[in-house]
Amino acid sequence: MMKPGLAALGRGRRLLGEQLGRTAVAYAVLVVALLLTGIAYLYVNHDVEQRERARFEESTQATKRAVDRRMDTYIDATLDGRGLFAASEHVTREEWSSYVAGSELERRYPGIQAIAYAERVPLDKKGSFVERVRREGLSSYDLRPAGARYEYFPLTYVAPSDKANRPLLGYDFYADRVSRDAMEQARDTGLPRASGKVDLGKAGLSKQSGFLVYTPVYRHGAPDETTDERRQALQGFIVSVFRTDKLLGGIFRGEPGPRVDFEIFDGAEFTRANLLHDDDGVLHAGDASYDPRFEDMSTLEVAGRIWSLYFSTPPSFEPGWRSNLPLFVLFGGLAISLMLFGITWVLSNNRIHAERVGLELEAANEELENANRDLEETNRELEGANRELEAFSYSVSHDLRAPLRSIEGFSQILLEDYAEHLDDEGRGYLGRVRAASRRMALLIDDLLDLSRVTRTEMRRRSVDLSALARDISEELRKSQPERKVDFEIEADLVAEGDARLLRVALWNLLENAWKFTEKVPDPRIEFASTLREGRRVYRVTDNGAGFDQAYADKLFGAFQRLHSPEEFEGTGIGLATVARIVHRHGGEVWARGRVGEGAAFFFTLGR
Amino acid sequence: MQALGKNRTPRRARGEMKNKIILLVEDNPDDELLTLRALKKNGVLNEVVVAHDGVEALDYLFASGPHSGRDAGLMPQLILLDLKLPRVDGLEVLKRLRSDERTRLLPVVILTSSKEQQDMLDGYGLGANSYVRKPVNFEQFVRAVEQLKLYWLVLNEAPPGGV
Repeated sequence: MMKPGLAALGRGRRLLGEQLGRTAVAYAVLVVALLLTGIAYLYVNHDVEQRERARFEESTQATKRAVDRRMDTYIDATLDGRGLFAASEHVTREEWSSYVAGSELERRYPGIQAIAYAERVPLDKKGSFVERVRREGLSSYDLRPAGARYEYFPLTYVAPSDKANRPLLGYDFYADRVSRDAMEQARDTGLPRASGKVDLGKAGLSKQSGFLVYTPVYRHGAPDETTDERRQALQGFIVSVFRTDKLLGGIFRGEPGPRVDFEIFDGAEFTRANLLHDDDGVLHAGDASYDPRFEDMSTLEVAGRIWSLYFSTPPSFEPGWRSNLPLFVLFGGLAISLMLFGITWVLSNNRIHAERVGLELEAANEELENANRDLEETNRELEGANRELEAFSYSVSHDLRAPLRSIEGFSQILLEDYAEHLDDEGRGYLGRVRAASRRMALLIDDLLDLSRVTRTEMRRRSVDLSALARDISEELRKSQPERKVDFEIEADLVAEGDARLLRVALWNLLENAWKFTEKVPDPRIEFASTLREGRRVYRVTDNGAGFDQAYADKLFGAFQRLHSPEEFEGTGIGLATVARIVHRHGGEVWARGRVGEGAAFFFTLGR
Repeated sequence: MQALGKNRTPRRARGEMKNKIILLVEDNPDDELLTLRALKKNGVLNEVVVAHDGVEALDYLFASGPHSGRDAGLMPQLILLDLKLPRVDGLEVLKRLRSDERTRLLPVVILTSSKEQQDMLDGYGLGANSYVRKPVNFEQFVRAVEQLKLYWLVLNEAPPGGV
């Protein structure tokens, strides 16, 4: 077996190990929860990013479609002019003006500054052409820029022919390289072709940038199937003058939805020189310090020209409620993780505490078992002592009485058979011998009673104390029929206890009262009870000799007498027997008395 | 029936009812003397056979040992039995009496100093007919013996057959 100290040490070590084990569970929970939180955060973040990007891309697509659509409408408008030339061999200035006026440029195509017709004028016909236009009423008409070229394409008709557009008349964009490329492409393909970005200020307009769209017009009836045929048949161009500032303004007017900032560049390079449109007026493309949430690039073909589009999220790109989700998940997850950790921690600590209590309980149990074993041992010893006592009292009862009987018996025989040999004094002495032996016999009986009270096993049951008291009073009356004693016995006093022992106790109390009322004129003995603090208190009272209250405590000790044997006979053991019986029932006994005024004995019987 | 002269009984008293024997089983010579005196004082003249222990008593009753010559058909009318006896004690004697066909019905009065409840229970349990405690006061003892004589020797009808 392990020594208690070592066992405790072992237990302590085990406990420590278990404590670490248990708190490790709490930490493990924390780590797992944090991991899950991290994963959830990344996932949600990714998801939200995806959705936002999708939203952004949707916006860019919508924007691009809108630009595309608008440009298509504009280009279509420029194509309409071709119908006029197809309808008549010669289009007059007036016809042109009314045609353009009919297309309501200002309202429907604000991006078009003017639609003009540029006639093909070979070098040799330059003079006659200028003559002819001047004859039509434009006296100051001239070809610009001046200089000798193989061919001229001066703007002949310009509509609307307002003051702002007047400088355009006679201007030859063919001289400009950017324009010439577009014109040649238009001529060769037969399709509208846009020029690169041009400075319209050079043509005499107020300083602004724009571009031109050329639609070739071929001579009436001339074949235009092949490139060569088209080059031969080319009569002139319908020139649409676009001003970029008004081209894409209000493109989203009346349309809801998320907006993106977009910039449009002519060609493939995102440079200010190529900038055609800037939605917010601040150039972002190519700005290294600009870091929008999303950006995207795209291209668009406009009348044979490649335009580059740059999209980016403006600061006002409304973050949807979802963009807060990752943070929410992160902080929520953190909070939950900490909570779980706390709960696990508390639970495992409780577990540890419970285990510690359990161990303490175990130790207490062990102690209790030890105490029990000790108790059992003591009990065995007591049983042995009891057996010895029993044997002793048996021999006292049997053997001690035998010589007494001899003493008493032979004294009597002496008195009977040898009376004449004794004088009165001798007979008196013999009488004393007899009395003494009788008293000793009583003493032995009472001692046996007393020891029996402690020795015998209690058999508890319901006992009718009133009936017992009546029985005893009858017995007492019979023992001295000449005495008249008034017994008052309360009816139906029933208690739990050992009937035989309770009888002995009541006998002693009533006999006591009987004895001590011998010398009063109207002896009265009462057995009754009262209820005090929930306990029933029984009492035997008499109006006899009483006793000095100062000695009340001594009453219940064995061999304690308050009266001389001559006064009242008795062995002084009766009340000790009563006390033992009452105590064995878990009760208490006490007495009240006054010399000459009677005595009262009270007792309880446990609960 | 004849009193048996050849039987060596330690003490005997002869009287009118000499055909009726009383067996007194008592080891204490004082008690023996006092009991015999009490019987005499009450005018009991029966032959009293005294056995001083259980073995002697059983020998007498079953006519064995020193009593082997005794007429085994002659049984005492009353047995006064002390409990505390040398060799075989009173209760054992009682037990053997009650388990033997010949002595099964003999009246047995336990006459003892003991007031122990266990002794009383055992005595009655083994079939004692009475249990009398010897009082210390000799006058009371004489009165008790008187009652016994009146009851067992005068009033009581012995069981029919053998005895």
